[in-house]
Amino acid sequence: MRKINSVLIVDDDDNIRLIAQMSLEGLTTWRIQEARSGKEALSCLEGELPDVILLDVMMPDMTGMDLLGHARALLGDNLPLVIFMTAKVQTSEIEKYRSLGAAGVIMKPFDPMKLPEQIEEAIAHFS
Amino acid sequence: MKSFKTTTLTVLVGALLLVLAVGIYMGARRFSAQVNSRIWVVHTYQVLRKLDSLLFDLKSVEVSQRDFILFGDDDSLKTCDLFAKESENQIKQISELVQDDPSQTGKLATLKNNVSKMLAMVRSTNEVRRTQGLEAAKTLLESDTGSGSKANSVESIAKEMSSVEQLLLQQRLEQLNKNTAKTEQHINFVNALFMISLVLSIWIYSASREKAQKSLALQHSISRLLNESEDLYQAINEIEKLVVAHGSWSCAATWLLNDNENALRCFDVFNEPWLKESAFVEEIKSRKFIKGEGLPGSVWEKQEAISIVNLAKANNFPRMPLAKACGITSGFAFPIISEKNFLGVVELFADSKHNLDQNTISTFESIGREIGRLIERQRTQMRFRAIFNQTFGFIGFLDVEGNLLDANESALKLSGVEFADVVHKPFWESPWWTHDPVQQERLKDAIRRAAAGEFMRFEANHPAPDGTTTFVDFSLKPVFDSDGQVKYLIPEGRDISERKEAETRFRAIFDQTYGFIGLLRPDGIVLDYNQSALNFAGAKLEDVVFKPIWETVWWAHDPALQETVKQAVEKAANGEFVRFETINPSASGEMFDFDVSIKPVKDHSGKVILLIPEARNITQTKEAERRVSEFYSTVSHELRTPLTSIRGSLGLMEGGLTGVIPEKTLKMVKIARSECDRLIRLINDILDLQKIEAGMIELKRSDVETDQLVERTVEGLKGMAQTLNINLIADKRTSGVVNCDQDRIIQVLTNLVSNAIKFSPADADVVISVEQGADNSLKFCVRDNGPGIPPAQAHKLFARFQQLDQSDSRQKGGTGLGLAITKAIVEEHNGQIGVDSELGKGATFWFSLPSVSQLPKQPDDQVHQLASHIRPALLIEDDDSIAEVLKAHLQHDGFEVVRACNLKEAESLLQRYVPLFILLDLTLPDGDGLDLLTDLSNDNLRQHIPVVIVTGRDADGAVSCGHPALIDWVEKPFNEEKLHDAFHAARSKIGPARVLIVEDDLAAREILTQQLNSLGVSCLEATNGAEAIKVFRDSNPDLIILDLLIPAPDGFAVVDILKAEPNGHKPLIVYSALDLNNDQKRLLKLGLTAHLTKSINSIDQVIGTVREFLDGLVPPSDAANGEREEEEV
Repeated sequence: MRKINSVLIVDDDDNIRLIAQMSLEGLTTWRIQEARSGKEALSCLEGELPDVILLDVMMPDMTGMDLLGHARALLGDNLPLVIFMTAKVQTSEIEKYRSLGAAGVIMKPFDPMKLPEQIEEAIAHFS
Repeated sequence: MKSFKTTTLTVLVGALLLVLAVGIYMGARRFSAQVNSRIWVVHTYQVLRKLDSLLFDLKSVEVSQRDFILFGDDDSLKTCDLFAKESENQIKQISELVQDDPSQTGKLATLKNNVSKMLAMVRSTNEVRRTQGLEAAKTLLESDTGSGSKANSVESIAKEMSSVEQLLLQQRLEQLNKNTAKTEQHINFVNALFMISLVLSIWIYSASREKAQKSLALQHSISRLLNESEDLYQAINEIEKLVVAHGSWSCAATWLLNDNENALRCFDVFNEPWLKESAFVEEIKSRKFIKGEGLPGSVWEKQEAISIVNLAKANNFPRMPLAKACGITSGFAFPIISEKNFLGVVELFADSKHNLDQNTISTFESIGREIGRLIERQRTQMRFRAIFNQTFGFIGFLDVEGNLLDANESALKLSGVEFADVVHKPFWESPWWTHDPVQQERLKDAIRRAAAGEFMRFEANHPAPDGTTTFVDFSLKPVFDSDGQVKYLIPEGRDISERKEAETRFRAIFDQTYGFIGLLRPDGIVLDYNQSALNFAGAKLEDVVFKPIWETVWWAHDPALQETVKQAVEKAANGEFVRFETINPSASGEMFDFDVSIKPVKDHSGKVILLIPEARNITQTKEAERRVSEFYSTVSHELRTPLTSIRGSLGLMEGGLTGVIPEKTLKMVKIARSECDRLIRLINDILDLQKIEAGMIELKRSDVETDQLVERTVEGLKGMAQTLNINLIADKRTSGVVNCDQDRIIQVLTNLVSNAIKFSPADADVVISVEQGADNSLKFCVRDNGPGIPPAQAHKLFARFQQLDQSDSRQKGGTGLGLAITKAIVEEHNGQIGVDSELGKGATFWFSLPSVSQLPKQPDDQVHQLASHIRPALLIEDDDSIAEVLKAHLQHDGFEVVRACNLKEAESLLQRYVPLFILLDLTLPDGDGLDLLTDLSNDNLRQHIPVVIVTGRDADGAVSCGHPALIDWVEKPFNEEKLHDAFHAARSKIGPARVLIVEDDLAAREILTQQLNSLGVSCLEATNGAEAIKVFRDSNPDLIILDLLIPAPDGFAVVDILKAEPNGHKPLIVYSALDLNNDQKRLLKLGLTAHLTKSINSIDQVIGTVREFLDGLVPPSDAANGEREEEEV
């Protein structure tokens, strides 16, 4: 199983970003990076790559899906595993995320106490 | 009159002929008498001539005798003898001729006597002369003095006789002359009579000829009249006139049978002027006769002509007084008959006596039959004419030039045509056609072709007098004569205006309907398409018609879609209704969504004759669906985003990640978190229900076993049940397969079971079972021991936000939408849902789904695909994509793979199969993989099977499971190297193949063991049957070498027993001294089997066969060595 050392949280909602960060920092030893937009996220990806990107879908300027496309174009095979964390979880939407290469989908609202577990499970299943 | 004269004449001629016959007879007699006289004259002449000849002969005798006596020469003697004989001859003939004449008989006797005496004297004298010489003869001659007198008497007698005959001749000649004169008179008389008879006969013959001719002429003129006549009344009137004139009758009346009255009524009377307005004729005109009544009635009854010479004496003639009054004295009547049907009577009356001969009566009877035929013909014609005229269709008659000969009334009425205006004129110049030059040309062409023998048909229209147009299905049919030449043409038309109008209406519906409709042949060739469809693509009908549908403009944009359409047509042609959604471009290139279907149209026998393709533009629906979907998506997003923060914050606080908080605060945080969760569930449920009810969820149907659905539900709710101290029991006695969306049905079951758990008191049972329902359905039941539901309220249960006691909802934490969603899902599956309950006795919630036939046993198939001696690796993994990857790795390393998706399948496979090793995922839909390991550890046969675990769980559990042959624990996501290492380890753990040698002979056993060991195969040994079976069961060998002649049970019995073993399907080499026949060989068979005979096949051959059978299990010696080394390391 691929070890997770660092996670990039991309969400335009400050509160949610904060909760996710608190959850992961409180429950794991992972290094957490944050980005409040696609643009910010892309600049993050120019530096040291995280192991997992926790990605919101509905963001102004650039959706999570757009970001995934750009990141793939930027990084190719080095693209970290991407988990969408979103409230848009209709069956057709989930299928779309998967088809874009998402490692998993975590539904909002999420339980902060179970977030690390969900991330690990998603990645385990994706392998 | 004439006939009377003829009879008289005939009698006269008869008398004449009689006289003539008598005359001829008498003439004949006269002639015969004359002939008689002539015979007697000839007779007399004969007698006279004979007498003369006699006298001459006697004279000659005298002269020749004298010469002989004188000269003694023989010639004279001969001559004398000759004449003597001749004389005797003459005498004889004369006596014959005159024997019937008594007057000559006496004289003849004297003559005879004298002549014979005379001749006797001559002969004796001649004898003397010849013997005694001349002198003696002279002496004798001179002594006989009487001789000369005798000669004289002969002569005189002959002369007497001649004179008698002369007298007779005289008489006879006179008689003859008299007869001849009489005969001549007779002949003259008879001649005269004959001439008279001849003249008379000719006269009579010609007279009768004339009469027959006249009768024939009458009949002929009547026949002609009947043939030519169109009008019955006129024909009968003419016939009456003819008959009256011909037979000098005074009056003729024709009676016809009136079917309604069943009586004869006068049809027509013809009478001579003097009978005009007589009471007799008036009576005829006005009265009727029934059968047997009067003259017409009698004719009717007898069906033959009746002639009454004297009406006054007739006893069945009621009209007598009237007839008498106008001087009618005789009558005659004959029947009118057609083909034995009596139709009427013709009566003839005269003022003189008419005595008819049979000939005349027959003539009239045949006239009656001809009139009968005319009447029949007239009636038939009338019927045909009525049909022709009154038939609904338009019919006419043309000559080959196209000139109109006839047209029926319907046709004339159609365009208000006067027959006289169009008859004998070209058909196309008639008002039916003149309104339209194009149609005129078409008609002309059709007439030309029909005249050449073709049947023509086309649609035409004709103007009606009221200004409307009639549409006609027009045809032109040639009528051939017996030589095959076209004689006439029959134009025929059928009014199809209504059909045309209906067609136009339907065409309008077809063309203008919003949907796209077409018509295809079963092979997909387009026959028709409606205007909407054509307009959409900017095409014309001729652009698409007679092309395969998939090659038409609608589908040309996308080859994949063309293929889809082609396949859909093939399915539809097989009788299936096909439906699919597509996206097609319009003429302007804009894309639209379509709901396309192809429906087969079948004939009565079920054969597909047409296909109806249909497409509905569902772009708007799709758009609406997209919008609704978007709306739900947005709403859920907008609601969830703030909830995420709230829930998240509360969760962090409750989890202690924000630091320690006071217990009272924690309690409040917990309440807030729990209600927040409820709010989230509520939102989810509302959205879910909305989507289901809008038909917006798509069921991902597949065939699923009910056991699996129940197990997964139980698995999911185990924790909840435990928490609430409820016994959750799955009753799997009945199972089956349903076609459903697995997740949705599990959602339903989960909802029902969780409700049951929530409403059950502690320590109660909740039972999930499946029962056979009605109509081949399966019924899922969830039974609880809760408070039960009052039946009156049961129906409320499935409505939204309905909980029987509002307080319950808070207590049990539900949203009030669960059952509504459940119901919607079940109904979406075409199932039914309900509840059976009694207050206080618990409740059973149930739903039923249509059952499908059993799933094919996939594992079986997998196993059977493999050769019997190959042992595959068993891969147990529920995730398809992971399974594919693992399978690829395994195959790469040279393993055959059999896959199980869950524990149940894996167990079933292990029942029939011992795999080389097992690759096991732990998190399986129906249980934990570790449970399987525990089971395997307790199974003698299978405990040694190497196992590699591939899982997302960490390896801590590996210690606890304690399976003896657990090779490795590979964590997901797996590292390829690690995986291959594990495979390698598993393979080495498999060890050498094991062969069971069953052989009681120690030497043989040792040789085999030695040989096999050198091959890298380990050997198990058994010396008798019982031992063989035990070893087999304990160690599951890969192959058996079996001797047959072993202590009990023998080899045959061993094979029988092993056959029944679950893993008995093993490669087998029978190696025995027995020479086996085919039947025995058939019995001695397990898996792959060879039968070798000790005296024939060498040990080497046995080893070769082992190597062949264990192909893949016996490593090449190098590899085997390498592995062993590794093991040692």
